[in-house]
Amino acid sequence: MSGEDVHALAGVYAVGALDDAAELREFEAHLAHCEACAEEVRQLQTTAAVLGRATALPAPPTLRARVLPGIGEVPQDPATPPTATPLTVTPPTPVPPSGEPHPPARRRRGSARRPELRWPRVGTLVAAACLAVAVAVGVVAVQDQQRLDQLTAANQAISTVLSAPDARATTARATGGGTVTLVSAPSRDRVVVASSGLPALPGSKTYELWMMGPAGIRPAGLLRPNATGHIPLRVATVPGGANRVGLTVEPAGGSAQPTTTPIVVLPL
Amino acid sequence: MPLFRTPGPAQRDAGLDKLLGQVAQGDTAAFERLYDEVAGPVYGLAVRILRDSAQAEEIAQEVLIQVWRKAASFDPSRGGAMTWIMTLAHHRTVDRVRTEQASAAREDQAGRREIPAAADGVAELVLDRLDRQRVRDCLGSLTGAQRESITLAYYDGYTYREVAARIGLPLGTVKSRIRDGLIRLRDCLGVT
Repeated sequence: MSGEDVHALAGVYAVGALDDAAELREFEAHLAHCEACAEEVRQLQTTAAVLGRATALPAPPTLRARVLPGIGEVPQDPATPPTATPLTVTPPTPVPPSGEPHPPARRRRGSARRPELRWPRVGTLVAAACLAVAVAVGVVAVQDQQRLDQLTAANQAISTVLSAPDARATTARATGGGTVTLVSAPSRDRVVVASSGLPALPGSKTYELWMMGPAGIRPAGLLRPNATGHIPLRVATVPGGANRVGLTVEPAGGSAQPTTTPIVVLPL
Repeated sequence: MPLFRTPGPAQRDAGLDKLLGQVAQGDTAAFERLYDEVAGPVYGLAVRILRDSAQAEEIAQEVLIQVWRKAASFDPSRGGAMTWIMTLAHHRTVDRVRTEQASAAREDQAGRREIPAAADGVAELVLDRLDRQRVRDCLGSLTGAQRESITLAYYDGYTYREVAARIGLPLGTVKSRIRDGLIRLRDCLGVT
């Protein structure tokens, strides 16, 4: 393909209309070496995104309920190396065709390497997921599946930490009551945080986790009780340089930096 | 240009970049704020392409979870957070429409109109309405062939080969119409 032809693809690429795998590869390879093309693509993709935003509709409240409550349990991918092109085709998450029931056991990804459920709460999560599926009324199967996928993904992340050969657990009593257990493994970039008996907080407050280190303090998510009042296991990603995990009480919604003294600090 | 750029989108977008950075650190509260900004556009685009609100909600859910998962790979030097998210949303939705029966609904209505009219019965935010009007005006400034090619490709999710086959033009012509049209839109919308 001549240089001119490659350049002409910037438009179809920006509107996602370039689906031929060979052409796509060739264009992206070209982008990596052509600064002007990359800049043009950036501008045209921004233009396309404005076209997209102009279609905005109020999202249904059910969407919020399907996305937000379980999100903290969904493991996050590490940053892709700079050579990757995050704005291009990403393999879609496999989703079963609508209406096709999948028993949870068959959907457990990575089950071959999955250790015995020696962490009782992992079993509880799976049980809760099954129960949620069983009692859901008026919700199509695929919605349950998505929720189940969230839980399954969380379970998988938990297994990854718990099955590490160098995993170790540290437990400490929290100021005000209750205990917090941290399972960490130097070979993994995630930790599992479990709590027991932490006092229930009023609706205006929440427990927030922090990753602490010489480079500063970063929020690591909120610990929120589920419908039964229990705080589920939480997987958190450990940024480079962090050497302690802290827990504070913050205004509902969480804070960007701690506003109160930690009720517990555990070493990583 | 001032209409599009000054009342807020630029500031909103800078705020979004920051929020997405916090999301990449596992900050669920930041994700909730991000959700409030982007769920409407992600859902609306899926409705526009799929013409089916139930499927659109399903896709929007997948996209929003993908935003959480992949937040760390967002690179502001390649475009703003809204662009990154809308690109993910477009790819994911188009994957669906290209593989599913959803394409039947698309077949019926393809190319009819670019943006759902406000008359779709939904109260619009003032800023959304301004964005929408601005986009409609700018699309109106394109040549008919540019507008048709871009509409079929972006809002209906056809590949450029399919666009070429539908409107009976050579591939090369469609490529350049889409590119020229986008460049005109970029200038009209004041995208920098």
